[in-house]
Amino acid sequence: MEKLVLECRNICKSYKDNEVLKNLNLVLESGKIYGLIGRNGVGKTTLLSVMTAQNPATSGEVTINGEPVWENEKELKNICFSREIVGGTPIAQMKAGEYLKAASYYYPYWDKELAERLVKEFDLNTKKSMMKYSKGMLSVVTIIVALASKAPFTILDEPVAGLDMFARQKFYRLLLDEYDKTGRTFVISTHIIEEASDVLEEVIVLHDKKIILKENTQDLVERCFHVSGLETEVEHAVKGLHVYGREKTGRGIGVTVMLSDGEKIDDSCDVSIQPVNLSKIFLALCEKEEGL
Amino acid sequence: MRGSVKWYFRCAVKTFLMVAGWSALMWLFTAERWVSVGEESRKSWEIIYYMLLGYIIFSFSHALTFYKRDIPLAVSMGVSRKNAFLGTCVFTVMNFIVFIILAAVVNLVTGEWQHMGIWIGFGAVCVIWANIVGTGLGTVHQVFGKAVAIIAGVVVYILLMAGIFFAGFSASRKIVAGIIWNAEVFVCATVVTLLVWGGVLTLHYKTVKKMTI
Amino acid sequence: MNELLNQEKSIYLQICEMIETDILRGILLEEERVPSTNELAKQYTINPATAAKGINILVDMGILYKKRGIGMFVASGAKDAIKTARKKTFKEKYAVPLVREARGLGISRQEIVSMIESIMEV
Repeated sequence: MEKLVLECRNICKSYKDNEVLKNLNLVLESGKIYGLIGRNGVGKTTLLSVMTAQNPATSGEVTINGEPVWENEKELKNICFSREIVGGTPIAQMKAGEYLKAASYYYPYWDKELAERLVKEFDLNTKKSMMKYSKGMLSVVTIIVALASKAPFTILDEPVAGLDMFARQKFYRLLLDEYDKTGRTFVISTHIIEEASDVLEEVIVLHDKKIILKENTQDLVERCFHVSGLETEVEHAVKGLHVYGREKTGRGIGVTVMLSDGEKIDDSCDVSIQPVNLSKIFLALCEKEEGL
Repeated sequence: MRGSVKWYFRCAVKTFLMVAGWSALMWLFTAERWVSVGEESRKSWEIIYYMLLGYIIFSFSHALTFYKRDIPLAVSMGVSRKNAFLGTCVFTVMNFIVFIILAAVVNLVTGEWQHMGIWIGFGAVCVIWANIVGTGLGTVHQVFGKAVAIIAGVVVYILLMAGIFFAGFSASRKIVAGIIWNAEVFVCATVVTLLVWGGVLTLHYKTVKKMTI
Repeated sequence: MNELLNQEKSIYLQICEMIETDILRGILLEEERVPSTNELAKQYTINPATAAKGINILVDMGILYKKRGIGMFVASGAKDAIKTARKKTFKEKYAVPLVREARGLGISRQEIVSMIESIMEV
């Protein structure tokens, strides 16, 4: 598979007076599984739809290997943006079978056998109108389109919404299986961070109109810690470090610390230093930063 | 482009099946009335007439869904807006081609070839007008909002149905005959149709170009 | 390879430690094949790059080696190498926290020494 690089350069997107994205820059290298996380309403879907030329950016450019993506079918055929099917829209009134048929016509690398296998695996009734589908089944359709499209850049917007635990595990396994076979690039926007974090190689955090973090999941988890204890001790231990998410109970406090290269927590102080998982990091990051 | 052609061909096939069913039904229920009307009651008139009506009704409602469903569907799956738009024109052209084939078959069966050329011209005009109205309604929906588009759509539907059923087949048949047999009127109608179609398509394309999915 | 992954530590480190522990326990023997990164990824439903990171640490430590086209194998002398490495970190990992905790509780040096001696007699 050719090495493709998708780049967003200085993307700004506003809806009338509402500025959603401002000078957003992002580079996605091929062959990785990325997670896009951010709070509700922060603009994840907007970013993804701008990235895939389904929504025009107010300014800025999206390119693949330098070629602009907007209205450019040569590059668009490398992308699949499988988005949530919203009930009540004309597309949702289609039968699932019809929707998959359209996908087979439009996606040039469509794998018919894989699509059929996945329909069986998830026990999807393709003859039913998607208006009658539960949220979980709509997610299944999204997943099937994404996986069977075989597009080098495949983007899934909330693919596990409405799926029970077993179906979610099935999805992660199918995703890894497909990644193993093809080395395609996947971008998954999700709220269920902890479950997904194991399969993500890199995590991208959208906050305050731009990307505030893009990092290898393991590296990120390694440099974040939760420091707790008596307030004075904690403040001494984390002096000069980036601190997020302070929680106070009486004389004790707990803070989340993100270490940069070479920084260390002063562990001679009487504090508990614990590792933090990805959702805690995200929680801390997307509230306000405090310096100490 | 290939994907678009496949998809809109599928839509054209569906339209044809609906038109064939409708034409057969209409012909079965009203064949007697036509035969008794007299002078212009040639068998080919009846069937082709119903087919034309069928195409107008079904492709007009199809054209409406193109804007709200098929174009966004194509764009959401990686088709450029230009090609998604052109695909809808492919639909109109395919309807027209199928109509010609059907008209030819009917003329073959009844042996009445004299007016084949005029049927083709008239058929093209009607099929295009169906697309114009459908496309126009879609653009109205985008520019003026859903409520206005629904009202306009209902008005058009009522006018069409009233024209067909309440005015009676013989009256509308006389109008058609009046247009077809009068060459100047027919040519004018064709030119006006093509100009209006060009205008509507241009306006439509302007809104499709900026479409957000 | 049957331990569960927990959420409180980097996954690749856990993979690393799991393989080391299996080698120490004789579940994986020297010169035996170790599950590939893809097999590990499938088994634990994790990203293959993460599994690879863990395996690569062990390769760098000389505990595993790669046989081209076949896979990863346990190196001879791996068991001893692991023990040596773990001995080095034993002080940081267990002894330092023990002393710190004891100090915090006011346990004297004498008490700690006799505690350890009594445990080691068992």
